[in-house]
Amino acid sequence: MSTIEYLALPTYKRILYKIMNFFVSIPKAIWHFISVTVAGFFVKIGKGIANYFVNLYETFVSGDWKTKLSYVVMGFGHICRHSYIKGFLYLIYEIAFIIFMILTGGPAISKIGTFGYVAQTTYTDPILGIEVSEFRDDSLMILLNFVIAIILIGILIFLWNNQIKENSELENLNKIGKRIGDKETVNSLVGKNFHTVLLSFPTLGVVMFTIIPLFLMIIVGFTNYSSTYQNPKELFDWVGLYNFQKLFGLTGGESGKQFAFVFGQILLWTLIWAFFATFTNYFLGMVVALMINRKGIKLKKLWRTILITTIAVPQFISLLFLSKFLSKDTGALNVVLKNLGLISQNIGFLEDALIAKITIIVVNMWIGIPYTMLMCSGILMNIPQDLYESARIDGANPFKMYMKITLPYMMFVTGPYLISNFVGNINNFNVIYLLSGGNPQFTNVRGTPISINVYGAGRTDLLITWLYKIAMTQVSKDYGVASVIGIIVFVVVASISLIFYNRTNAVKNEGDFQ
Amino acid sequence: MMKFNLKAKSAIYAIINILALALLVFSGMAMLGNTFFPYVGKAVHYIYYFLFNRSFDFKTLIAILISVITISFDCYFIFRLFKKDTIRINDLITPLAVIMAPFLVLAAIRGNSLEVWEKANTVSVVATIAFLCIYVVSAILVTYDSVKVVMHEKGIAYLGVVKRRKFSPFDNAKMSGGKRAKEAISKTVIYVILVIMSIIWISPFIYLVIQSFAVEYEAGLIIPQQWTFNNYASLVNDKVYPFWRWYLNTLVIALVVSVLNTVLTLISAYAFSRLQFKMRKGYMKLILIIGMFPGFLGMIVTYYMLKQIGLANGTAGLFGLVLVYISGCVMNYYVAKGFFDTISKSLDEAAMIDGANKNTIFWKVIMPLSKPIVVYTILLAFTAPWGDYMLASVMAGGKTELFNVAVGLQQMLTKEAGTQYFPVFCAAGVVVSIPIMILFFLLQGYYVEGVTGGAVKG
Repeated sequence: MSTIEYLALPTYKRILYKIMNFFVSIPKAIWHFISVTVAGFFVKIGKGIANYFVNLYETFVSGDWKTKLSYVVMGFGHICRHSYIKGFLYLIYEIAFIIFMILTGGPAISKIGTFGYVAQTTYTDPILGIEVSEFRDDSLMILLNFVIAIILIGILIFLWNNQIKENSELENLNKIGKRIGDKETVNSLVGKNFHTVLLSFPTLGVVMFTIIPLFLMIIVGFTNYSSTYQNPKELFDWVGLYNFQKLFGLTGGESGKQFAFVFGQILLWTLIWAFFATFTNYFLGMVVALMINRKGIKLKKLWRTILITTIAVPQFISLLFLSKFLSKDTGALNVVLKNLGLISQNIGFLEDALIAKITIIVVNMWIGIPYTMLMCSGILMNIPQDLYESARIDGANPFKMYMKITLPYMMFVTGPYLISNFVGNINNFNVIYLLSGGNPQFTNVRGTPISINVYGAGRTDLLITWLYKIAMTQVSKDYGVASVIGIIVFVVVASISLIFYNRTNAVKNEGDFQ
Repeated sequence: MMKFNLKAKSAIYAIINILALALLVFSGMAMLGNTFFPYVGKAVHYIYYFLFNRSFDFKTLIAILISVITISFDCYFIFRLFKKDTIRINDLITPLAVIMAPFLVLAAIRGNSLEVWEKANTVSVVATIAFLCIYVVSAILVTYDSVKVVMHEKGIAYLGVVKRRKFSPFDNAKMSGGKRAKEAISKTVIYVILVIMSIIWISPFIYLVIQSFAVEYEAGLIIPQQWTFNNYASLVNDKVYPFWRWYLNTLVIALVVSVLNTVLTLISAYAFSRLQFKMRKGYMKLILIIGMFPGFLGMIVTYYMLKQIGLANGTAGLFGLVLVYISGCVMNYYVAKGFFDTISKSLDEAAMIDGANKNTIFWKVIMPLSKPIVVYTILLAFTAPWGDYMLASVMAGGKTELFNVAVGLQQMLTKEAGTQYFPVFCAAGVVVSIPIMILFFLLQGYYVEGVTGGAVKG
């Protein structure tokens, strides 16, 4: 309906319309995504691949013998055309790659199907006469080498591509008569190609310590790698989707149902916690910032300084301290409340399930409001004051001014911050683990604790603290299930980010904000 | 108070600094020798004993080296205030050095022998604490001056230095009686709320400090019946939970990581913000997607990889931890990139006309304009390793000497059945928080600028 019809509706119908619009727009967004974005994506990829091969063929046919040879020996064309440094670097990479593949990569790829046959063999040493064990196949090593081999193959293809393109350029330039030598290469390092210098070390770090472990752990999610199957004494094996089935409770039986129940509860609590943690902090922080910023309040700096003590003190100290402060039997808060006569029995702030959840959200507010307050203070100072004055002339009361001026401005400026804060709270390990340790434990309807069967999960656990418990503190550390949980966290986070980033970008592109 | 100009003030601070340092060293050695303020002859004897009669190990050497370097930088910076009228951002490194120096000196002198604290008598302990206080106060005064000068030069809206001018025509108009009453009521309500909030926010910390002096933890009493310094002593003494070890580990890691992390983050942010290269957008999207995975997922494999290289156990484990911290720093380029984007590109173009290449532009044009974001990045990079639980616990692998402060304190609190370690934990909390708190309060303005400038778009 058009704007005029919308404004003609009474308030409750407007709310209904807004709610209906929200729900209807979700399937529309999904359909738009599938039909336009995904289909267009595949068409672009198809065209790109076709183009690529056509280019390769043309370069091969139209080049001279040096170009044809550099299809096989990387860097040959460069060396012949006086670009020695680059040529030798390409050549060295090719030689190193071949050596690596022969020594470790090839065997790893061949063994990847079964992760090796024999973990260790023992034989009697003829000289010393004692049993000596020798380690043969190390499953994790095989997987690691496999992943490294894949990455190196990828780099090889990329570099091969590069050198062919550069080669044909060099050939064309040589025909004209220009020469690109070593001096130009070095000079471009601080000019055109400065990004290579700047980003090479960080990229190396990211690839080695973030991408490779991530890749490996995703693959481990499909194996049964655990502390019972740990190398180098034992091998582990592919189990396909067994870990997923275990988590979703499809393995059947009592433990299957318990798993499904626990997993659902933890997922639900993760989302609820992230929602409350983000939005309570945000809105209350804004309210506090407005209060402190208000005309006529003295000692602004003092209030701000007091409130940011929680940022200044390292978070883990406050959390560990509070975990003892709020405990049921020995905590000081219970004693104080009893002495003041407010309660007659100790309240289990961190032991009773529902109260523990509320306590954790309140503690997170205590820690997090100063952050949002600081940020909102900085932004609120930038809102032009004449907007407020014209609103006051028009007869708006403070609440209306807040809803129509302050809130839209803040949401526009801090939209991305809200989303990344929400995502960060889904993965907020410190607050939950240090404060409550994920307790209290789950019990089934008859009251017997079942947490032992589900890797020690507790009622206040997030997905990520459950992951930590499985991987670090249980007796049998089942890394396979742990990585499946990690994959699920990724899927949740990615979908939320995709949906909401696109919505805020769409709003921004409407070019609205005066 | 007489009006000193800047040079005279810095001279006084420098002298206090050197005196405090010298007296600190002496009283440290006094604790070794169990007397207070030895005569010069005895001092020489103690220096001889300190230098030649004890077994040096690698740790002590490193600690001594670090303290010597820190103290010399410290003296250099304070003496340099002599020569200038304006203070530059480098001078703000002084508080870092100044705050860390006493700890390092103490660690170096104390070294391996744990009997020092037992032999120390009250007088020398009081003297040490007194000189520590003088030290810290002079550092704060020096920094406050330099911060004021810098802030005023740049005109940053630092929490009250730059006052906002009010143009509202309603300010001078007289309010009617009803309106004045409403205004008064709302102001009182706000004041009451603010006071209650301040009490709630600070009281846990006051309780923490009070409990750190308690003999044992009694749940019923807010103010303990018996007071002692023993908790602070047992931080150093305890065989089962060697807190000083954890503190030193975390301190070294934090110092190294803060420098390296800042450099790498700023470099990558500059590359993403200013340089045009083919895969720029793709790389940014890749980092975004990788950041969506929970970081803990790859830790086990990282530990395994480091074990293969040999960087996973013993002190080498700390190197491994530093390596992992550094390699993750690219993922945090957003804030710095946002800040760099706000620096106008015409500056770049003007510099390029004058013949600068990209390298020169980065160091000579962009860096001097980005002091807030540099300080913000250093602050965050320094305080991050103190609170990192997940990664440090994996790398330590259960060995008590390799813990960092967060892991160690968590073990101390959860592994013990009773509450006998709670006052010790409070003492540890105080010792850990105070340097970071001081650092944070001094650099507050930069933190706000970083959060509002770089983290949000607009």
